[in-house]
Amino acid sequence: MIVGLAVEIIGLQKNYAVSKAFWSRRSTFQALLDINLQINQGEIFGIVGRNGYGKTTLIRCIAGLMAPSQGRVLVYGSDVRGTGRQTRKLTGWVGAEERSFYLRLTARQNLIFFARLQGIADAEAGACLTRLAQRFGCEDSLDRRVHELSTGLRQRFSIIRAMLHDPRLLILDEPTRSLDPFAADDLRRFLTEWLHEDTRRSVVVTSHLLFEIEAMSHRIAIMKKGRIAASGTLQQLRQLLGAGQRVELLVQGTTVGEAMGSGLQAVERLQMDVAGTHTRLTFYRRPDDATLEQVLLDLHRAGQRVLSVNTIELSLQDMIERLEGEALDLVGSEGPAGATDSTSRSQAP
Amino acid sequence: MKELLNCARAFFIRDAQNALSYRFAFVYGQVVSMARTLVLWLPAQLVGDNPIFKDQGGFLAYSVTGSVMLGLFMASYGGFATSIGSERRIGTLEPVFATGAPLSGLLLGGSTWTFAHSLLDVVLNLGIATWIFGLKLQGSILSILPIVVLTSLTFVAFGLFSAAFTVLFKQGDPFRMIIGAGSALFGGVFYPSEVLPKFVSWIGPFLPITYGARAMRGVILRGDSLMQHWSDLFVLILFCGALLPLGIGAFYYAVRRAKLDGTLYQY
Repeated sequence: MIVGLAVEIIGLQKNYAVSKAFWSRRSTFQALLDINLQINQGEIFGIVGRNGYGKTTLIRCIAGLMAPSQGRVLVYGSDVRGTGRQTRKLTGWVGAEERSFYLRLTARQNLIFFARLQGIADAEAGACLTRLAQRFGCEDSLDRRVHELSTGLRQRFSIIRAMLHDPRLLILDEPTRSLDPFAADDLRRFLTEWLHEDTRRSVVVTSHLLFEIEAMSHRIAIMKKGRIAASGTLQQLRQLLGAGQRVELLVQGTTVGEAMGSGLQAVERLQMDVAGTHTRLTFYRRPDDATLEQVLLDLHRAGQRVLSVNTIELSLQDMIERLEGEALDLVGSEGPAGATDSTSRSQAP
Repeated sequence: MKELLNCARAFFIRDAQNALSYRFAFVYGQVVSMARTLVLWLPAQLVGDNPIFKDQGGFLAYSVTGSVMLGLFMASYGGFATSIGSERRIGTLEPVFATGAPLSGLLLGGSTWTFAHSLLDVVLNLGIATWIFGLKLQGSILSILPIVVLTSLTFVAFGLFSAAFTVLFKQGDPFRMIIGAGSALFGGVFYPSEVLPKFVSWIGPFLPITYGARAMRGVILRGDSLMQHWSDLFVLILFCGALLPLGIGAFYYAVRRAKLDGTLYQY
C-alpha cells in the first residue's frame, strides 16, 4: 500500500447469482470485472456511468457492505474482506436507498441510535448532530418523526449519519438525488470544505448529475458494463479519448453535403443536420490538431459560407457517449480495467 | 464486551421508543398478554384437581408456568430472525451494518427488547396467577435464573439457525414450526408429556423445553433445590454445548455467503 492512498482496489471482481425463474438454475452475473483503482487521500473521486454498469456495487465493495468475489479492496491499508469492521469505522456511507431510517422514531432518536452503534457517547453524539444539523439547515426537523420528513430532509439526515463518527472516507451514492438545487450546491461546498480540514480525508461519490461530478471531482472514473472504461482528471480523460473539443459549425444553405463531396469523410464522427436554411456540422477535435482549420478551408474552397464556429470543451456526457461507441477501444477495454488509472495524482481542480 | 453492551443498549432503547410510539398497540399487547392467565383459569375450573397435576400445584399453575416459559423461550428463539427480517423490510439493515458494530452485537441487540418484554410477561402472568387466582409459588423466581438462562441459550442456538436461514432464504422459517409447535405439543408445556400416546411421547426428551420446564416447575412450584434437578441442568448444558457453536457458525457462514452473493440487504 502506497502511503497517501485512501482506497486501493486490486483485481476486483464481483459476481451475483441470479435466477430467472423459479425452476431455473441460478446463473452468474458479473457485476464488476477486474477493477484496479487507486483513490488518493485528499481527493474527491467521482464514479459515473449508465444505470446497471456497476457503480453502486463498486462503492458497496469499498464500504465493506459487499464482499468481493475476487480481488482485494484496501481502505487506508486495511482489507475490507471478512467483517471489515475496522474499515467501516473509517468510512461514512450514504446509500441511495430512500428508506434507511426507523420511520416511527424522530430524526434525533434515529441518529443517536446509529451513533451508539458506533460507540459514540450520547452527549458527544448530541452535540455533533446539532452542529451538523445546523450546518445542513435541518435543526428544526431533528425532533420530528422521520415519516413526517420530506425525502430531501431524510437525505440530509442520511448524510449527517455518515458524518457522526468523523470518518476519513465518505462514500456517497447519488447524494444529491433528492436535494433541491440549493441544498445540493451546499452539500458540494460542504464536501470541499470538509476535505480541506484534514488532508487524509477522501470522498468517493457516484452521481447521474454529470455537471456535479465535473464540478467537484478531482478525478473521475467512467464505468461501462462492470469495467472502468477510463479514469483520470477531466483533462486527462479528454486527452485519453482523443478528442478534446466538440466543434459546431453553422453553414449557410442546405447543400453542404453535396458541395463537399467526399471532402469531409476524414473528419472523426462528423454529424450533419439541416436546420431550416442552414446546416449544422458537428465533429470532435483534439486541442492541438488542425481538423477545424482543414474543415474551414475545405468549406471555403467549396464556396460555402460559414456563419458561426463554436468550440465546446468535451463534457463528461460527451465522453460517456463516446465510450458507448467504438471509442472504448481507444482506452483498451480488453486490457486491465483501470489501466488508465495510473495517471498521476491530482490536486483540487 | 463494552461494544456488545453498547449495541444491546442502543437496540433496547430504539425498540422501546418504537414500541411506545404505537401507544394503543403497546397497551393492548400487555392486556392480551395478561389475559392469558385468565384464559387458562377457565379450563382449570373444568380440569379441577386432576391427579396428573397433583404434584405440580394444579392445572392452572402447570399451564401458566409452561405458557409463560414457552413465550420467553420463543422470544429467545425468534428474536434474531425477526430483528433481521424487520431491518431488511424497512431498509435499515445496510446502514446498521455500515456502522461497523460487531455482528454479535447486532444479533444480541436486536433481540434484547423482545427478550425483556417476554421476561415482563413472565412476571406479570405469574403475578396475576398468584395475587388473583391464588397460585402458590414455593420458590423464588430468581432461583430459576440458571434454568432460564440455560434453556434460553438452547433456544438462542435454534434461533441462530433460524436467523441463518432468514439471511440466506429471506422468507419462510422451518425451524419455527418444529421448535414452537413441537415444544408446545410434546414438551410438557400445557400438560405432562406422559399423557401423550406412545407413538409421539418419544419426541419430548429431544426438546430442551422438556428439561427446562420440568426443572423450573420443580423449583418454583414444589420448592425443590437446583441440585435436585442436576440431571435436567446437565442435559441443558449438553444441548447448549452442542448447538450454540453450530448455530453461531451457521449464522456467520450465512452472513458471509449473503455478502458474497450480494443478497444480504435484499428482502
